[in-house]
Amino acid sequence: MARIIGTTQLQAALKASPAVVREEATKEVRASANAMRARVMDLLASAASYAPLWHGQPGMLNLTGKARRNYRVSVVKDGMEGKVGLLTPAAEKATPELRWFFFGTVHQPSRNAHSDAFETERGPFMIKQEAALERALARLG
Amino acid sequence: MTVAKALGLQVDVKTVVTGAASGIAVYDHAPANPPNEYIRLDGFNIADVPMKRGQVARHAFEVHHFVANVSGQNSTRGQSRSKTVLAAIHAALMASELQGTAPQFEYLTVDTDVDGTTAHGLTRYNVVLV
Repeated sequence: MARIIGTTQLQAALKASPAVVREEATKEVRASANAMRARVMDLLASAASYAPLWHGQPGMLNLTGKARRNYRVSVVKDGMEGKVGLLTPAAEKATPELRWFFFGTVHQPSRNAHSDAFETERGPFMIKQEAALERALARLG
Repeated sequence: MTVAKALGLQVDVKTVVTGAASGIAVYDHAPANPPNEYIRLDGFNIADVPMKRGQVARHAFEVHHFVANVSGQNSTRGQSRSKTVLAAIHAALMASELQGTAPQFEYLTVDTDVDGTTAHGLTRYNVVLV
């Protein structure tokens, strides 16, 4: 879905950098991916208040544990890329309700917790990466 | 954050979408008895850009198009209809300025809705406002 523009160039530059820089950067990739998943879980827990069903008819107010279990975090490409969401076709197939929840249906509003959590984490991630680079440079002396 | 511009942005989006999809009802909520075909604007979200200043914000929003597979009608139905309508809206939005700023396209997805027959198209955009 949503991506940060320039990640390919950033990944290439980090891969070419000393190991200590990659180590610090990877920590933040993992931390931000986990933070995004935690944020989505929080939003799912408060679904009813997140986007109320204004017309008063029955609608999806909660999600099953199966949907939460299939919504996962993965850190790949030597720790340079964090992925969050339904990461496999099997996970998507097992939890169609998550799509209806995020994107809404003809009868209920969209509660796009995934994209909203990404927007929330995007800014802090950039700041944390700057701090990680400073830590790496300090370790290099 | 540029929260004060949120209402103006929603008005701008509705004006553009209504003009691009004439004849189709545009809602900002899920109606109790939805018509066979309608457009819904929702998913409005505001995030700081960058975090350090808090004076610039990225406003995101979604445009949904729903069309039921009603038999006995001459107009095109299903996902094809959804893609045609969303293409017209996309062209209008990308050619417009919302609160003085051009929107950026994020993604498009078209699939069947929860009932298995209604087509549901969705496009997401964002606008960075000062």
